[in-house]
Amino acid sequence: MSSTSVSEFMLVVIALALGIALFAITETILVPEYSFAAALQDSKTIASVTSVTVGPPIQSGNNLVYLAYIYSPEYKGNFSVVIFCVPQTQLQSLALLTPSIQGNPTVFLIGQSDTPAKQTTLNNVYDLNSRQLTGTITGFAVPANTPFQFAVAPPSGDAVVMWVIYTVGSYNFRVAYTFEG
Amino acid sequence: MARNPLNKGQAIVILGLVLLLMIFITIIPLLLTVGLNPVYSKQSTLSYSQLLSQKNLQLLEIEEGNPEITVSTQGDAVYLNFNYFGQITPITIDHILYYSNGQWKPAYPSNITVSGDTTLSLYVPPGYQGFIDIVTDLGNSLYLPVSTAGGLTTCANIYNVSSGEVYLGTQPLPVGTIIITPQPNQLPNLVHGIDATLPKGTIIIENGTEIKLSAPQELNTTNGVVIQKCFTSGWYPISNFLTAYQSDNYTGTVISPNSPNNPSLQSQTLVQWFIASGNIEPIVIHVTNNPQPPSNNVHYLSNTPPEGGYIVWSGDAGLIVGSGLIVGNGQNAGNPGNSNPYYLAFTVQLKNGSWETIVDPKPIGQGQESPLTLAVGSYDEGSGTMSLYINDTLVSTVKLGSLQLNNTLSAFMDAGSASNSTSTTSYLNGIEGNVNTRGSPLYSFNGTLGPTIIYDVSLPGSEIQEIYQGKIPSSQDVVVLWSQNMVLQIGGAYKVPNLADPGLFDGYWGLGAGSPTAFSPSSDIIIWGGGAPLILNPNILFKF
Repeated sequence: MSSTSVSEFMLVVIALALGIALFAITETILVPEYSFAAALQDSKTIASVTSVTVGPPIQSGNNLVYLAYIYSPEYKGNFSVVIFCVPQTQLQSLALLTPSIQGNPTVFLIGQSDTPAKQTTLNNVYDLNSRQLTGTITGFAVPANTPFQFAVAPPSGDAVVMWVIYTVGSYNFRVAYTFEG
Repeated sequence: MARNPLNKGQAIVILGLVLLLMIFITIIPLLLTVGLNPVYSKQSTLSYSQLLSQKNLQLLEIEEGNPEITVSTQGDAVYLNFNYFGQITPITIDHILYYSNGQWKPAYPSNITVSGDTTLSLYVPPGYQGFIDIVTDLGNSLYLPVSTAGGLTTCANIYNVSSGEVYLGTQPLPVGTIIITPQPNQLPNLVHGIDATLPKGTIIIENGTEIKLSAPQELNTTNGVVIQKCFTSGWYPISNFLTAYQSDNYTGTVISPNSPNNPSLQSQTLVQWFIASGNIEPIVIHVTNNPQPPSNNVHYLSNTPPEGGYIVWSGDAGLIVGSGLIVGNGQNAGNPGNSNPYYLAFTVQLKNGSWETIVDPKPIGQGQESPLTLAVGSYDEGSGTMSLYINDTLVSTVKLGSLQLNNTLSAFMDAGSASNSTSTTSYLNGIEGNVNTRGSPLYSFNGTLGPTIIYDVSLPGSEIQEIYQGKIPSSQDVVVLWSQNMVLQIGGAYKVPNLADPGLFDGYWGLGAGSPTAFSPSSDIIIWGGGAPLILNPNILFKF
């Protein structure tokens, strides 16, 4: 093999190595970073036009029944709601509270009282400041702009907290939250 | 060996191809990622502020009766009524729901746009008495109880030229002209086809120009319509004042509440809006030592409760308004005053049965009616700090040391009076919501009361300022929130639910002589937004 052929072969090998390295960097760093940033931006946009209404509780047996409504006029898909209980004394840190006691919530769509809302598994929920709030938790899929009800039995002295989770791609963002109690 | 030009060319091409490949493998994933991510560009066409503005505007329209939404019954049927009192603004209702057996269910099969007076027959069980929830297309959710009554509709001294030709004398008044009469209800709700007389002092606002009539003048509505501004106060943030005694105790035959008599508080903050008027007992403190002239930042110890008009009484603490202020030693209260200005005090009863009181020696306004005033009294159990605020200003504070309050479980909570007996010495027992005799003049207020808020903590001054600005800070610490915008008639009794915890410490208006005597005895109507009033006439606000 001539020295020219060797140097050409070396160039090709170097070029391929550089290409593979660039591809790896793109796939492992740039693409996830961009995807997360794009998902976060979408979530912020959705959050900016989303509001949550939760009605007064009505006692039903041991449960408190709430009527809730997620208003997001430009969004036609589903949100996930996560419902959990926290001691009322911790409500001052509401934004930082994460699900610990879930109080066995059940969620029904109005007019479909025999069918509970579909449970969803949510991996790594983030807030809108890119801070990871939780690992894997369970939520309920509810459509936007449609009333739904949830029933929960909070321990005495506890308040009921509801998160609204918006999923884009493989990312879950908490776009709204509220509490009752 | 000589160089092969063809090989060199091939190498350059290969190198070029490899470089292109490198570029593609870098760019293609990014392009794919960008292409596959949803972009909600249409969201930008509707900003949050626009949405919020539309939502709030819709709620405001409903509050002003455009349309007024009520739930009525006829026999076992339940109807949802939309009645317009002014300019017709269409409203789209997406969902109408009712609650039964643990489930919210549709009460109407479809959405509906209302653009005129409309009555809907609801698909609810016969005789349904629960809540109806309405969700509008703008996301406003309104809860309407089926049984509502008791001062829910109030009409202001404001009229609008609604349509047709209306003349003031010979001067035409265009549609949209606002007429404000000196007193409420000086014209019918609907003025049409008649010549009415506008009294002296009536204000006419036409295209931003304000005219005040110096003499009575004829209003010709032969071919026009003038409509009074009326507010429906169901579950909306509107409230009139109450002139009556209100207690959390009701012993009538209809309701037997099982709630305790009072929230048994140590640290606490009492919040009460009021306008004092007419005769009220002076604030009289029968001190145990040598009497001193009333002063700020001094606490007065007495063995009996101070006399005066208790605007709110939590069971062991009260805010007192009196026509005059006397710190005496065994002195009788004398006749209720009718010429002195009004004063404010805050008192607590200690565990040993004695009373500690702080006062503001400066009068609240002058004359026979006080300005609209926010009174706040707080007690901190840890430090024994008593504080008294008028509006957002701290007027007196003392430290008693760590002392516990009496919080006797026998005492009822009240607004407007604290006892129906003059023989009270050990504690103020509160009055019953169904008494047919009025509260004792010795402990009763005369005037009008706005919302009552009781916290189970001592709020800092910064949060008192927030209350005065219309917020309800530390809402998780509110144990009682009575607002006259939420009145239910249940079997002849008038109930004001405790919005902080419905069912516990609900208030009941008295019956007979204790009944509400007026909903808006002042010439000014007050609209409440959150915890503070939005005033149509700012002149009634007390400038401290």
